[in-house]
Amino acid sequence: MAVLCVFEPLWSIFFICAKFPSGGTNLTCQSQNGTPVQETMSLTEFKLTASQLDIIEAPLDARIFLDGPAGSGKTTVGVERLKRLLEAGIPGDEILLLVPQRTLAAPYYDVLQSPQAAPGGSASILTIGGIAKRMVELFWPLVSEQAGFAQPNRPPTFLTLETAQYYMAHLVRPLFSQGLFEGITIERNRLYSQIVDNLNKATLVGFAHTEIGMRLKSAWAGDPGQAHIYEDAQTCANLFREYCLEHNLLDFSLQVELFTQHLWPEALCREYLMNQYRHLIIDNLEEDVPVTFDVLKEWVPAFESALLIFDLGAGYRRFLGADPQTTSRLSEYCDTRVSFLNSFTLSEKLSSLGHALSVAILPEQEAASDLLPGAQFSIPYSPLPETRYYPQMLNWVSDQIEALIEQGTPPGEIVVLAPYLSDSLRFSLVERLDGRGIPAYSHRPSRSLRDEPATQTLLTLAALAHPEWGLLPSAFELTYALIQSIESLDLVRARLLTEIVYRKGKLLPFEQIRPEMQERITYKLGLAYDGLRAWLEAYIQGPSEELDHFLSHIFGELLSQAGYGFHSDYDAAEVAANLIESVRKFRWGVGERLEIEGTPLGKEYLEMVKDGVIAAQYLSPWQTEPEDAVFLAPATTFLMRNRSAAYQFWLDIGSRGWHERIRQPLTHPYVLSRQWDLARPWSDLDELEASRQSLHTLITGLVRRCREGILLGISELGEQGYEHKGQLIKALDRALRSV
Amino acid sequence: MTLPKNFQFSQSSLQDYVDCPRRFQLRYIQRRAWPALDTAPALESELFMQRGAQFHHLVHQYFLGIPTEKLARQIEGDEMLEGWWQNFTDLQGFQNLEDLRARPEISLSAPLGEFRLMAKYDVVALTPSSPAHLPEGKGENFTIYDWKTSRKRPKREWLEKKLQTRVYPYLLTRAGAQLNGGQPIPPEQIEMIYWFTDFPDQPARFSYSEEQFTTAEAYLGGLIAEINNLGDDLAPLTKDEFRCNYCPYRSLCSRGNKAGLLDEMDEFNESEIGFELELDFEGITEVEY
Repeated sequence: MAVLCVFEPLWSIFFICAKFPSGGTNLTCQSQNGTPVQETMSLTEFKLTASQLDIIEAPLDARIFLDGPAGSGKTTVGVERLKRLLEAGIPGDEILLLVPQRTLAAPYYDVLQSPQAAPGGSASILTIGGIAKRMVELFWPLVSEQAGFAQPNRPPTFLTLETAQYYMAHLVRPLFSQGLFEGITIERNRLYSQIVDNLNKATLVGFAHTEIGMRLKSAWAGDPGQAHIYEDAQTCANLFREYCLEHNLLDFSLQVELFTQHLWPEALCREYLMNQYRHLIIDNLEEDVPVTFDVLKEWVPAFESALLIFDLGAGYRRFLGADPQTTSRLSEYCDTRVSFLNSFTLSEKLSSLGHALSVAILPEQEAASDLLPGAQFSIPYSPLPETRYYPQMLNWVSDQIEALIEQGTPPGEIVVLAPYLSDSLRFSLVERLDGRGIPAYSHRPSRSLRDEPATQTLLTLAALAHPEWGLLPSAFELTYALIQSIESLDLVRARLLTEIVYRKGKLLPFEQIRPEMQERITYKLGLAYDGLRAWLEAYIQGPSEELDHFLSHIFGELLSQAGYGFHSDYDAAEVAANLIESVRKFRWGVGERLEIEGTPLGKEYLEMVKDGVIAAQYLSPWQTEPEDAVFLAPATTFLMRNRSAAYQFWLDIGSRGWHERIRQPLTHPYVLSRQWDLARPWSDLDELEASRQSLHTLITGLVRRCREGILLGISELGEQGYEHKGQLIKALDRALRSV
Repeated sequence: MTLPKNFQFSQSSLQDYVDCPRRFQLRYIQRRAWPALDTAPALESELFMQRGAQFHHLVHQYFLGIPTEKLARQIEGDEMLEGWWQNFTDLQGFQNLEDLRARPEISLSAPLGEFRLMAKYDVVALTPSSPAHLPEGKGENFTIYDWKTSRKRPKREWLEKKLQTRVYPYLLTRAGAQLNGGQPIPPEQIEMIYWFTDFPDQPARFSYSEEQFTTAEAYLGGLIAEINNLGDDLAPLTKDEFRCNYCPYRSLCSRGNKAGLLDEMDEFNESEIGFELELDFEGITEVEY
C-alpha cells in the first residue's frame, strides 16, 4: 500500500488582532483579506489543490484512505469525488455514502439535491444503524427463526428509545422490591436508559450482551459491596433481551445484532447490498463504531471504488461507542493511504493558540501535535467586576455578538458554545439576541417534551376527558391548561375560573357562575371556556379514542380554532405534533401488550410521562437551519456538524462539564470498548487521563473549526450560582502564562 | 415566497400546489406542523393506510427474492391483506422474476428549472416485448407499476389528470438512462400501469409518447416556475372546499373544524401513504444516559 503525506502551501493569510468593545476576554485572530476558505464557499468557487485533485480524479476503481486534521479539505474531496462519480456516469443509486451521524452528511445532500447534479438515481446516505434497520425490515422473514424469535412468522415491532425504555421499566420496576440496585442513587429513568445503553454498546462494540456485567465488574475499583449493581444490570439486560425475543420486539441493539450476526452472512441480503452499491464514500469514519469496521473490512474489497475519510484527533462520539483506533484499521483494506497535513481553516495565530492550549492540557503530547507554535496571539484578559454573575456574562456575550455583526460579520458565522445548553441558558440568550434584532437558533438533540407547556396542557385535557383513568388534574394543572388553551386568558382570571368551575374533576358551565364573576372573567373568555367544556363533555359521552387520536382531534376541532390558544401559536402546534408522534409510536410499540393486560394506553402514557420514563428526552429531528443566524449549541453538537465558524463564544469556561463525564454508575464508555484491557480496574488516574484526553480532543477540535476569533464568556459564578474552576480555565491560564 | 434550499419537487408536492396553493405554502415553505386529524374515524383510516404500506412492503420483499410462502405467513389472519396478496400473486407476468428484470422502489430525480424533480417508483419492470404500436423488436418496454390500495377504483379521466401520471413517465425518460444501458429511454417505450389491489382485473394503463413528454416538460417546468415566483403574500385557498375536509390545516384557514369521513372520501386523498416507523438513532448526539 502506498502511503503519501501531502504538505500543501497554506493560503496566504494576513492577520490582525481584532479589537472588540471592552469587557470579557478575547482570543482573536482575524483574516482581513477575505481569504478563500473552502468550507464557506460554494463548491465551484475555490481552487482545489493538486493533492485534492489527485484523489478526486483517481481511477474509478481506486480504494483510498484519506486522513488529516479538521479543516484540511478532506470533506471537500469527498464531495468532489461524489460529483466526479456522478459526472462519470455512475448511477447515483450505486453509490453508498456512509456517515456515523446524518448531520455530518449535509455537504453531500447539498450536492445530491442541487439542480446542478446530473439526472439519475439517488445515492443512499446511511449510517450503519440505518443499514441495519433497512435490511431487517426487508429480510426479516429469512432470519427471524434462526435468530431465536418466538413468533418468527409475525412481523417485528421496532422500538424507539422511548418504547425501549418503557419496556425496560416494565421489566425492572418489580425487581426493586427484591433489592436490585440497592445502594445507588439515580433517577429511575436514567437507570433504565443506562441498561438500554449497555445493550447498545455490547452490540456496537461487538461482544455478547451477557458479558456486560462481567466487564463492568472487572473494572470496578471502588467499594466491593457496590459491585453487585453490575450483576443487577446484567440481570436486567438479560431479561430485556429475552422479553424482546419472546415478543418480536427490536430495540436498536437487536436491530444491529440481527444485521451483523444473521443478515450480513445471509447470501440474499449480502448479495442485495453488494449488487446495489458499487461505490463507497465514508466520511468521519473516526466517529463510527467497531461493528462498522467488522462489516466494512469484508465489504470494502467488494466495492469497485472506495474513499474512506478519517479525521485525525477527533472521536467525539466515544460515549456512543465511537472507536477511532479500530476504524482507522480500515486503511489496511485500501490500496492507497493519503494524509493531508495542513489546514485551510486555521490561521497562524489560532494554530498557535491551539498549540498553547494543547500543550497546557496534555504537555506530554507536544511532540505529536501538528498545531504549530510561533505566531504570538494576543489575549486581553480583563474580567470585569460586572461579569461576576452569569446574567452579566450573557449580557456581555450579547453585546459582543451585536458588535461583531455591526462590524460586518454575518450572524451565521457566529456560534455560542457551552458544555450543556440548558433551557434557561437557551431562553436567556435567545431573548437577549432577539431584543437586539439578531436571529438565533439553538439545537439540543434531546430535549424534554414533558416540560413544554403545550404538552402539559394537552395531557391535562386528556386526563379531564378520560375520568375513568382516575388521573384527575390538580387545580394548578387545570389553571395552567386553561391559560394555554384559551387565547388572552391571564393567570388571575384562570385561577378564578378554576376555583369556581372545577369540582371533583368536572367543569361547571359558565352560565352557572354568578353574574359578577362572569363579568370579572369576561363573557368573551367565558364563551371560549364554555366551548372547551362542551367539547370535553361531548367527548366523554362518546366512545374513547386512542390518546394520539384524541389529541389530534381536540387540537383540530378546538384548540387550533380562532379564540383558542394554539390558533396562532405555531411553536405550541409543533410541540403538539411531536407529542402526538411520541404517543403514536408508543401505541405502535406497546399497544398490543397493554390491550392484552386491559390497561388503557392513554393512562399508561400519562403515568410514564410523570415518572420520566417517556417524553423526558424527546429526540427531535434535525430541523432545517435558518439561512443566517447565530447558532447556540453544546460544544459536541457543534463539532458533529463538522463546519467551521468565523467566531466562537465559549461560555462557562470554568465549568467541569467541558471535560468531566456525565455520572453514569451503570455504564462506562471506556470499559465497554474494544480498547479496554479486561484484566484492569478503572482507577481515578484513568478517569483523570480520560478527562484530559477528552478536553484536549474537544478544544483542539473547536480551535480547528474557528477562522477568526474565540471569545470566552467568564463569570465568577456559574449558572447555578456556584464558583467553579475546571480544567479548561486552568489550561487557559497556563496557555496565557506561556506567552 | 422562498422555497427551502435545495428543495426537491415531487408529484405529491406539485399535486398539493395544484389542489391548494395555500396548502403547499403551509406544508413546504412554512413547514407548519399542524397535527389535526385529516380523516375520521382516525383509527379506521390509520389501519387502512397501514395495510397499504404493508402491501407495498410485501411486494418490495417479493421482488427482492424472498419466498412467497414466507411472505404469506407474515400476514396470516389479516383477511384484507391476504386478499390483496392473493390478487397480486395471481397476476400473470410477475411469477418469473428472472425474466422480468424488475427494479422495485427506485428513486429517480432530474433538474427542472432551478430545482430538482424526484419520484419514487413502486416498480419499474423491463420486458422484452415492445408495446403494440411499435414495430416488432424495437427495444424493450419499460413499465412503471404503481400499486393502489384505494377502496374505490378511480375513473381513468381522474387518473389521467393526476400529477403522478405526468411526473412518473416524464422522469423515467429524463433520468432513467441507467436502466437502459446509459441511453435515454424513448417515451414510446414507456407505459404506466396503476394496479388496484381490490380490482385486480381493472388496471389503468397509460402509454406515453414524445408529444406527451414535451407537453409534460412545459407544464411541469411552468408549474415550478410559477411556484418559485409566488410573492410573500398568502397563497390562494382552493376553491373546492370539499378538499378542506381532508386537510389538517383547515382550522388555520378558517375552513371548518371537522375531519372528513373516510367513507365519503373520494379518490384524491386515498393515494397517499405516509406511515413509516422512523427510529432516529442516527440523529442522536448527546443523550444523557
